[in-house]
Amino acid sequence: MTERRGDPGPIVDRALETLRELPAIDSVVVARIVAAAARTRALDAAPNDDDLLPPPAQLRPTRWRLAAAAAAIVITIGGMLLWRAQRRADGDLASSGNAPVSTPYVPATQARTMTPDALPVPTQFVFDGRARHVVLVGDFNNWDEHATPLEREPGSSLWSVTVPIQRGRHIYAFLVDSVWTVDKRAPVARDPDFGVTGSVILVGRP
Amino acid sequence: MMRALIVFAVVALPATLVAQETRSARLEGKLDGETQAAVLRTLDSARTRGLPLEPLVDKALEGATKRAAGARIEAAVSMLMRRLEAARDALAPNPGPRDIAAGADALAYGATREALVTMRAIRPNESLAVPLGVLTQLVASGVPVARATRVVADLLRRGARDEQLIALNNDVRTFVAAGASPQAALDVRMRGLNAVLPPGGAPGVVTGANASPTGLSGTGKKP
Repeated sequence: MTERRGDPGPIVDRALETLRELPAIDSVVVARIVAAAARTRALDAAPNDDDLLPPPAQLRPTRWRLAAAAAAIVITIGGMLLWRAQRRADGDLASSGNAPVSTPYVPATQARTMTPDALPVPTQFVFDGRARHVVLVGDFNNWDEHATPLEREPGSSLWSVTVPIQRGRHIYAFLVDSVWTVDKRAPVARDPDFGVTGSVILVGRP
Repeated sequence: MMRALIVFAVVALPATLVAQETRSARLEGKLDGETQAAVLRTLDSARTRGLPLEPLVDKALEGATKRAAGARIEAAVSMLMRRLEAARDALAPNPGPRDIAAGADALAYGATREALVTMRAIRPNESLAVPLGVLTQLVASGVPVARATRVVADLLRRGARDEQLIALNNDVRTFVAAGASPQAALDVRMRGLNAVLPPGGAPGVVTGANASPTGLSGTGKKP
């Protein structure tokens, strides 16, 4: 099938016919509509000398805007307070250490504000010995006897766990089958408070 | 305005309560009721003094894990609060919680308030957690407090990095474990560090230090 250039085809012909059938635009009517719209707009904008208050059409959005702004401020401040309180309660010093991890643990809320020096450093702890269950306790995991179990390397007596720890000096120990055990590879920390020696680790940048 | 203040109070009050209850919950079940109440009183006192609470909670939990008697835990937490306050004042004007805790540890091992003031003056804007930790450990290794303080302060002045301080401490410990006296071990390691750090004053970059037997990098500044 061939179609010559300049031949618009039957669809265009039908559209043109339909347009020709529409009534002609009355310029007087158009002018009347435009004038009416302009009058309405001018009345809305003009202040009424008799009114002591601004027209309701203006008052309502302003009130809403103020209310929304106040709500936003309250929510923001409240959120910051909650965040700070939670952060302080959770501990500025270290992560909770609820599970063994191998990558730096940084809560999203803290990551935005922490300098690289403040980021926890993944630190590995190794215990060598026969045991049924080995747990790490220290000042970086709330001394929680359940938070940080060590995993045994299959076919060996080596147990290990890697936890994110803030830089600085930390005291810790292993609970080997619930028995307090110092790390043989680390220096010992005397304990004038409770009389139970622990092990010491100094954590710096990896 | 009044409505906004009321809403603010409604939001802020629970936030404070959440923080208190979280701390309280952390102690729940770890301490007997009387000890917990005493520790919480100490925490309240610490809060009013603007001290970090986390080290105090940790101390109480440490005592619980070590099966210490309640009275001993109360005493330990109370003494730590006093050390935290002393450390906070010595490390003024704006010490972070970790610095305050490290300062309190150092004081517990015999470091002086002046030592903390000196280190803060040398490092006014950086964390002192590691230097104070190294100071504490050197003292714990048997190095006299005055000597350990001088060494750490000198190294900080010369721009030693935290990792260099930790390496120094670890080596001293190794030498002491092998039978050397703590002071001799420190002297030996200081000679190694003298080769890679600039003399006293402003820290600078020392070239050719990669070949140093100390195994420490040659820059006296943090990268």
